[in-house]
Amino acid sequence: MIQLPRSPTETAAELATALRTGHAFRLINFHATPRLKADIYRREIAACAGHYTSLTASLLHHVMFGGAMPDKPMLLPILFEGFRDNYDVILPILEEYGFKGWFFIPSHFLNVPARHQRIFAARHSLDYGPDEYPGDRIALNWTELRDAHARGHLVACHSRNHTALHPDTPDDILHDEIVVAKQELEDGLGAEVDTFCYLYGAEYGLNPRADALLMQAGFRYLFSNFRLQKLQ
Amino acid sequence: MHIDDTYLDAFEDDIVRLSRRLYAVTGVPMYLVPEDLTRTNPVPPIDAEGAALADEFQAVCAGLATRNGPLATIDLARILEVLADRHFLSVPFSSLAGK
Repeated sequence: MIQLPRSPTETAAELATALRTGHAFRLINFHATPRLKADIYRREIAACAGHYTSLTASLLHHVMFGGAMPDKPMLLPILFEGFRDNYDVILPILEEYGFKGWFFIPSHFLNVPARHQRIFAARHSLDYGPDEYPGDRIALNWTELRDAHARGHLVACHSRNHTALHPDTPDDILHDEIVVAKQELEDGLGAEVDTFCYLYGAEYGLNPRADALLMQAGFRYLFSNFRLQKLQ
Repeated sequence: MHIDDTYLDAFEDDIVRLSRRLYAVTGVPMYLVPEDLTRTNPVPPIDAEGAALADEFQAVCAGLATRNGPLATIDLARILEVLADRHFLSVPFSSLAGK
C-alpha cells in the first residue's frame, strides 16, 4: 500500500529530524462523513477549537515560503474522496468552529453519472459507510464544490480516478492521473488547483517521471503520508 | 527518552485498537512534516515541544524494532497515528468517539 523512496529506517530518521522543529502540521483525515456520525465529528472538531489555527491557503503559502509560524499549531481537516456527505454533514460543523476543510478530489468521480457512482467507488477504492442517498448521487457535484471553495475551503487534486503511484506506473496513466486530472478539476471548480495527493500518499522521489509531470503541470505542493512537500 | 516494556505494551495495544477503526467514516489524527524541496527556506530551529515528540517517536521506533524486527512502512504510519491520538488534545482524540 504505502511505498516510500527510501527505507523505513531512513524515513523514520528524516521524520524525527523534521518533527524536532515543531513545525509539523496536524491533520484529521476524514473520508466519508455520514450523518449518523455527526455528533462524533462535532465533538472532535469542537475539542480542537481554541487549540489550533485553521490552515488556509494563504497561511500555507506563508509558512512554506519561510514565513513565521502562527502561535497555535495548524490544523487541517482533510476531506478525502469527494463524497457528498462532506458537504452536507461535516462542512457546517467545520464552519461552526472556524475551520477550513481541505477537499481532496479524484476529479473524474464528480463527472460520473449518479447511476454509476457506486460501482465506480467500488472499483476505485472509494470506501464509504452506510448509503445515505439511495437512488441518488453519493459524490459531490461541481456546484457544491464551487460553493465550498467560494466559502474559503480548499480544494486539492487527488488524482483523476483515485489512483496510487508506483515506480513503474506507465506514462499514459501518469498523464491521465496528473495532467488531465488537474485540468478536469480546474474546469469544474473554475479556479486553479496547486496541490496534489496520490491514493496511498506516495511522496516525491518514488517515481521521477511522476515528479517531473507534477512540476510541469504546475502543482506547487504534494501531500503524502508523512510530509507536505513544497515542489516549486 | 527512555521507554520500558510497560510503555511499549500499552503502545502496541493502542496500535491494535486504532488500526481496527473504520477508516472510511472515522476522523484520524496524523502529523505531517513540511519539507521544502526547493531548499530556499532556512532550516527552522529546534523547538522544545517538537523535540519531545521527535524523541518519543524515535524511542518507540527503536523499541518496536527491537521487539518485533525491522519496521515496515506501515509501522511508521501506525506509530504516528498513536502519537497523534495521544497528543493532539488533553485527552486521547479517539476517546471522543466513544462518549
